[in-house]
Amino acid sequence: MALLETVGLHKEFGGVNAINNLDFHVDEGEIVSVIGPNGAGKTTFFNLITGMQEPTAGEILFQEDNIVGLTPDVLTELGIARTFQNVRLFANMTVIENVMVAQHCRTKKGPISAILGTRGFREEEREIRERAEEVLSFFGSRLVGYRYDQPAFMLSYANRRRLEIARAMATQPKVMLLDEPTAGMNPRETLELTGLIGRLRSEKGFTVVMIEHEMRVVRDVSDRVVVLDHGEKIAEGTYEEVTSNEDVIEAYLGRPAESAQ
Amino acid sequence: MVAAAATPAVMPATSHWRTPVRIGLLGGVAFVFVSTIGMVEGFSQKNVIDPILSLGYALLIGIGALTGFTAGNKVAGRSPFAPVTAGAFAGLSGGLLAGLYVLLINQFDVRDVFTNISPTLVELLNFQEGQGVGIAVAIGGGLVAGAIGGGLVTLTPLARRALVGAALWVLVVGFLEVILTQIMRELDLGVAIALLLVAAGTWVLLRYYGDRRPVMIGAFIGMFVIGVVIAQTVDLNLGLRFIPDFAYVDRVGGRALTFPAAVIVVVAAFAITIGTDRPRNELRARVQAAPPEQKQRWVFGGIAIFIGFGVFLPMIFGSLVNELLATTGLFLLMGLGLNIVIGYAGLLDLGYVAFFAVGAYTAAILTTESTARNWAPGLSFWEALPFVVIVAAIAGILVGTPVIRMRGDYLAIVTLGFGEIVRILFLSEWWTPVTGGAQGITRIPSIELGFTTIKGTNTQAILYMILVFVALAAFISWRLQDSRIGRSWMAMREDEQVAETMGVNIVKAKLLAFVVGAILAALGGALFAVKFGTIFPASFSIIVSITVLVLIIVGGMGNIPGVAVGALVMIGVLGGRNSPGLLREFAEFKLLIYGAILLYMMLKRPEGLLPSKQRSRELHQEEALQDAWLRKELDAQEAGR
Repeated sequence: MALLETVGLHKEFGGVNAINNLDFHVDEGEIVSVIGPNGAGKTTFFNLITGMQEPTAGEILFQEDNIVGLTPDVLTELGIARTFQNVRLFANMTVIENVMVAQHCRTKKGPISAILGTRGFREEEREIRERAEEVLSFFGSRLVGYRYDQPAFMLSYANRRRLEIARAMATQPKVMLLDEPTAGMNPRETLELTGLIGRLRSEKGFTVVMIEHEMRVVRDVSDRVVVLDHGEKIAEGTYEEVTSNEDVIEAYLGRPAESAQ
Repeated sequence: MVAAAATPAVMPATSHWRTPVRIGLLGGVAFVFVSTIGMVEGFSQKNVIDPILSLGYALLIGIGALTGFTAGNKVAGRSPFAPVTAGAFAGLSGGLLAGLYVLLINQFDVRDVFTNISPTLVELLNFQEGQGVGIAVAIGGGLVAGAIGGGLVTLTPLARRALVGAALWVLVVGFLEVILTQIMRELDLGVAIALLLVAAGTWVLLRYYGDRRPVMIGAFIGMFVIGVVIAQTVDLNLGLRFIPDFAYVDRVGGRALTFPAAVIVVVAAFAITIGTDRPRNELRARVQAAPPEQKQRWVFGGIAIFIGFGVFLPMIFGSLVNELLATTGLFLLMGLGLNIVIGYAGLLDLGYVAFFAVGAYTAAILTTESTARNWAPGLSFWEALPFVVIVAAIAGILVGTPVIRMRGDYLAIVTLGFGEIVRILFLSEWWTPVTGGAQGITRIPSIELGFTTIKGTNTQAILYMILVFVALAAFISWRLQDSRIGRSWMAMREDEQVAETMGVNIVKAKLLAFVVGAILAALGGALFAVKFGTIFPASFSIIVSITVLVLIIVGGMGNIPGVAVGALVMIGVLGGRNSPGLLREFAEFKLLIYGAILLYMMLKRPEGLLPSKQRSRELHQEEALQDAWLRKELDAQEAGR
């Protein structure tokens, strides 16, 4: 059963088709990579799914319900979380606060119980903190200890990326959308993150859709690869199938196709 | 010129004197400005040290010294005498300008244009001795003050702190005359015992029962009850009256510090600064090294002692100080509310006075019986209070809903409009049968407490009432800030779009901030109505919004103690729109000083006097990064950055 599915998805920006009649699906427990040259519409595709932009036409089905028109916070609550290509942390909040705030839609104590400091409220705050620490421990020793109380802007670039993933994990999603998780990382860090993406599924049970340019990462973790160009799906299949596809090679390298490999 | 000053190694010889002269001339312009607008004359009414130093002269000396210090700072570290020379040079050039000014005002009568250049001012600047002396003193005084200011640069930091501290303490003791006199005169044994009891009790409780909250809270309450009983029953004046009688003398412009008292203050300030230097550093190191639980205990102790002051000091403050504190408290209440809207949620609301007005009018309409108005239910204050809260919440939603999708400047402009709309609504013909139109509502009844009645004219009682609500507002702010709601506001302030993607319902979060802010302001409004007994639409003009905004900016946005400090400084010391502050001498120049403070704060300390951690990080990322680097808490630079 498809967890997330788009049917004839279409997005137009002033006459330009950013997404053109896109049929896409991801099954529960899959890791799907979305690749394509710059400007292919990959990030727009994520924006449409997370409700940050509204599609011109088409349907987005999440667990077989149409979710077009829902606001981002509702979609997060349903179980769609994302990271951003250009890391967008709450830079002046601490590491742990970043992860705690992401649990907003999973918690529900209102202002009155917060003011009165009821037992339920304190219990919930404790759970939020514990869950945040648990999520951060997923990254080994990199984001724990004194890091908890460091503001996010103090982190190194790679740690910011990790924290963004941690923040998305803390929303307790069913499907995670990672927008270029390894952008700007060195080979060692990229390798480490590749392993991590695998663990997101094996340990946490998340379904993952990932935009990625680093082909080694795509090869190592993806069950399936979808190639976009000019907002259209030009190929779909396993890594090997896709990379030997004539259209894909042409989209990436142009003619003559022989020069690929 | 600026570039030349920044690179002294290649600076040509001729520009050595340029920077000091430029700074000196700026000082001279400041001299001319404060003289021409009448500040010098106004301030000279007030003696700082009787009879040798008036506030007016102190101001001029201060300008000279500051000029010298600034000029000296530019050449600090080159040689021990360079700052002194530079300071003297700057002082001299400023002094020449000042001397020229003295000459001109002696020769020409320009009172038609500059009404404040009066014969009194001329005499003041001439030192009652004719223009020759005036010019000489202006030039020589500039030179000396500049040299002294420059000399400050060469002193060790400790010596500098001692000197500047002593000067500031003289000013503070001079200005706090009203409060200090009142305390010394009225301090009775009961209040003293009660304060000591609270302090000692807090210490014991935190030390031995710090981890047993129910015991602690119970004991605190018991302590305060006993304290109140003691303070009320033991009625023996401690006889400290002789201290203010010795320290201050009555003069036309207000009571001034006597010379012997000033000497004692200076010596004491010196001794304390130098004597406590090492213990203070050790204490600071210990505070920094203390574990978080210990810090939390200190915070609790601080709050307990603060509450102790709030409970017991109004008993001996007298109506003048209590009145001042009551006004401060009202603005603090509003400040705490606006702090939630702007400081926490980042919504720049410039029409905040609207909620204050709604609260005041709701309370007044519901409680006041009147034949002039058609609808006057005549409820008691307590019966009206729930309605105040409900109406404020509705007003918060009404203002909040249309502006949900607006940010920054647009939000500011629209809320500004709302503020005016509300005032004009209360003024309108159409509402006159209910609101009384331009005549407003008069004879608003007192608050019935069962065992006593709180009249608006009883400043002590109304102050207690206001303090209770301030404490409530601070508590609400603190609890909300440290909850999932507070975190969602913070996230929204950082990046609204991402906050939404991370599951924060922006509409709910914004409306909640508006509603909580509106309720706090409305409670302030209700107390305002009772305190003054009369309200008019004119009481709720835009300047109230601006004042509240300024006090939270100056104090430190997003931080509860910061807002309190801002209210004390801006309202308590300088005075609100219609209320005198502690420095009544400044009343005429209040707006000028407001503007100067605001400018200085924006340039030098945009995070405020006592900022929240988050905000100071935001404005000082570089420094924070450096500190972290020094603590070795920063990652080694990872590749690909």
